[in-house]
Amino acid sequence: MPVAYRFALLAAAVLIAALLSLTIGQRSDVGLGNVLQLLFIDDGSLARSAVVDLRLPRSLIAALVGINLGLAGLALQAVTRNPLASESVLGINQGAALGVALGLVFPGLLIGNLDTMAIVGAVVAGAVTFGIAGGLGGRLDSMRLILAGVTVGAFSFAFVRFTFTLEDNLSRLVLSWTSADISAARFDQALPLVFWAAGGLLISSFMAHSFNILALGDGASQGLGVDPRRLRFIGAMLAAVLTGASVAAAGPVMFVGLVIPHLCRLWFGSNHRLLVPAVALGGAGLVLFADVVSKLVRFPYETPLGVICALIGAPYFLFATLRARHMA
Amino acid sequence: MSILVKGVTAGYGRDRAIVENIDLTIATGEVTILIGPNGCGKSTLLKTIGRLLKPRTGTIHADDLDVLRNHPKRVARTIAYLPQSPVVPTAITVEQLVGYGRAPHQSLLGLRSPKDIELIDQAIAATGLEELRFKPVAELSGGQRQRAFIAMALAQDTPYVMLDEPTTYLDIKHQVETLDLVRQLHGAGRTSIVVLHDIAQAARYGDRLVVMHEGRIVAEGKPADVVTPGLIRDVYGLDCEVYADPVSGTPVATPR
Amino acid sequence: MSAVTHTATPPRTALRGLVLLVALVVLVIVAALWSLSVGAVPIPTQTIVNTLFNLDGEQQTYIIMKSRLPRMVLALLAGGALALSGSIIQAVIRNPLASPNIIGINSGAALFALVLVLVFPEIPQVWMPLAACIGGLTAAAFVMVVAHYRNLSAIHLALIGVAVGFVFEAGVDYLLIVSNDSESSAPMIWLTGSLWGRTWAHVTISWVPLVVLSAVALLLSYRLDLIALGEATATGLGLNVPRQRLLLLLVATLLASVSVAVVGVMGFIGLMAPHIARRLVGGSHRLMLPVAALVGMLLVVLADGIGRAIAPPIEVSAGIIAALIGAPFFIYIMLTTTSEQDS
Repeated sequence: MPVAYRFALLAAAVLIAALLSLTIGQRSDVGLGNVLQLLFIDDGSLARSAVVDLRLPRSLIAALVGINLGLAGLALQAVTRNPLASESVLGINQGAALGVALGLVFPGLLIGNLDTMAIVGAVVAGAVTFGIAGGLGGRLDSMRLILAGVTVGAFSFAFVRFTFTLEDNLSRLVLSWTSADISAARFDQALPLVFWAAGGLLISSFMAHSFNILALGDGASQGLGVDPRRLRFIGAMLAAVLTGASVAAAGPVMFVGLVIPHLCRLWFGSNHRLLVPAVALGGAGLVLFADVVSKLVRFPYETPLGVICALIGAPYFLFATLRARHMA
Repeated sequence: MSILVKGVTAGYGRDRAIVENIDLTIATGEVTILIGPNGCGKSTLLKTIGRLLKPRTGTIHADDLDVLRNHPKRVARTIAYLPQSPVVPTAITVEQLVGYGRAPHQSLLGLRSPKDIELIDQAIAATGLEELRFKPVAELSGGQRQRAFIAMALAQDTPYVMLDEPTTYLDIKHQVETLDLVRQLHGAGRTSIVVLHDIAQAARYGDRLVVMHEGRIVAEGKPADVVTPGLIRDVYGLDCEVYADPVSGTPVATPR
Repeated sequence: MSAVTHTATPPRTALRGLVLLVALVVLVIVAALWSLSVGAVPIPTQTIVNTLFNLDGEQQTYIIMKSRLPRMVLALLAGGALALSGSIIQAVIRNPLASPNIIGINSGAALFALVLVLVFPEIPQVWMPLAACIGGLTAAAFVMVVAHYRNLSAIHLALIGVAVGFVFEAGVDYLLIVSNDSESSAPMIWLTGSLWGRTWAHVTISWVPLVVLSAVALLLSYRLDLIALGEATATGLGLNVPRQRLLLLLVATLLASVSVAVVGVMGFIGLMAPHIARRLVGGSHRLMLPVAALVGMLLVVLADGIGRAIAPPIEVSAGIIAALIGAPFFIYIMLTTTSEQDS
């Protein structure tokens, strides 16, 4: 199938997922038949308000988080040359969560706002993981990278869980947020994400060529004028910032950054110029789809998005490790 | 008294067999060296004799011992096997490593008998490691490490010793040191089977060469009889001239 | 030459080891006594001694005998068990970053124990260790079965363990979310690795398996030395490596699972205690395992004590304190042992 068709198919899937995400909910007066009408024509009804004020920001956040996390995962897999790397496996997601949890529990520690806390947490966690795995140099050992990431992640989550045991109101807030419950999302949370996602897409597109070259190995890319250390630094920072921004807006959504680049590589090959747009589309589609599932799985109750993504992503990660024959 | 390999076919997983229907007799008291191009199956054959790989068909006997059917510990008292670039565990000393060579002779807790201690001392002396005895193995140079592992195999006190490419990653001086040690083993009455890459070294240090190609044995015998321009051309696909080494008189092949 | 001849003289390893063991035992006893004294009601040492040995003078029978003593005993049992489990797993996987947590054992045990508490609340708690063991074994068994059929390297094995851990972890999250708030708050505390509310009942259900398994682990210590040499060398030395690996992982899994059942998930003990022990006495497991067990006991008892002492009457979970102490230490160790350990 030509590449253009594949993109068209993917885009169609994203549109369908978006439409479903807008349509499905507790109101029975919104259906596939009238959702577009409600979205574009202001008839002043409660149904219109539900779609535009409640569901639209939520779907928007889901799609943007998907784009950010997908691109973050793609960058991480490219700079580590490891198809199993991603922000949740390397502990970056959890580090961002720790940053936000610390900000919520100890307001005195807050640097700037929760967004900055999440980004700082993500950067610190990433730095520790990469540091343990051997730094940014070519000696980065993929096994060590993953074990270090898992440990950093477990450590961060131990603290996040600890905050559950504190005061009741606070613990409920942290719990609903760590499970990435986006049911109460509003437009003002979605807006900053637009900028992050646009920036991420732009930078990733610029770096796509370098990522292709880095895949040839450190020595070869040095020979072709791409500094692997610098590229690794930029890629890891990009991933940390995108992850931090998503975590601050929606909570730690796990495994999107692993699943989407992995699947896109199966479908679009290993050229990053194609992978960047494919991963952005795919990420949006997957999280929108997860959002739909999160509304349906225990209808009429909602199951938080983070739990759904973990339930989809963790088995996928297992499948990917079983498939990866030549690890390390 | 010998190692008898009969009809052995072996390979990895469900893939195609790497060695096929191998018959080989390794006579005691000789240094037998397996050579052949990359992927010819020489290491695979050694791994099979070392019980690291279960053959699909065939039998292997060492003296009267059925290598494949007997308890691994029992076999380890007859054949010592050193893998290619063995794992160097952290924080253990040369003396501890050499001591592990006694494991096949010991009970669960690995407590040392006077005989164990004596053999460990002998192995350390034979490999010239007295000075490094209590140094962590991880801190040794490549050549010293290889000596420590050979000492471990010596302490195992077996009539047969198998070494898989013991000179890989060593510089020329340490290669020679290691191969001299192999000759020394021979002097001590051990039978050794060694996989090597370098044809000249194999000819110089082996009593007997076994040449493998595409999973089969294509020639065996004394170095001078085996290393011929015809064989090199058939096995390695390289047009060579063979002359006698000015020092040892053994054959050396140089590409034309 | 002086440096070389220095290494040629035998260090007094046996004597040093003995001294170290005795010192650690003393430290553990002191830490245990201290942990009896701290908490919402501080109790002076004299009163503790009076109570324990039923001497004349002031006693605090209720708090000590009903609350702090069982906690202390559990801390010792679980600390030792987790440390042994971690030591075994690090040797078998041959990676200093491996631990029961990494292999998915803790998550498996936690999920099954949670299912028992949240889904079948009518089943008595006595069955918790069994449920946890089934969970831990399910995780470990999956990893081992896959490793067996695919003939995987130790490294790949650990990765699959990580993945299995994630799957169980997702299950834990789901259970916590679908259960209502009042049901899940106790399991939440338990999940962070806490000795809060532990009683003699927990000691009764766990001490026999933990003591027996610890003894088995110590008996297998020399095998661990051989396994650590790698599959090829160990096979050459007459070890049936797949079988031994299975046996050792089984022991490690059960040790960690039973601990999880009684004290929750304390991931850092199984990672740290073996490292400290290795730094103290080197890589020979006959000495390293008992040292690691003692270090594990010390860490958990101290963590529990500190958690109670830090801001009474609020208790901070021992698992959190252990992670707080452990994290900087862990990072330091990992940064200083970059190249030599795994190759």
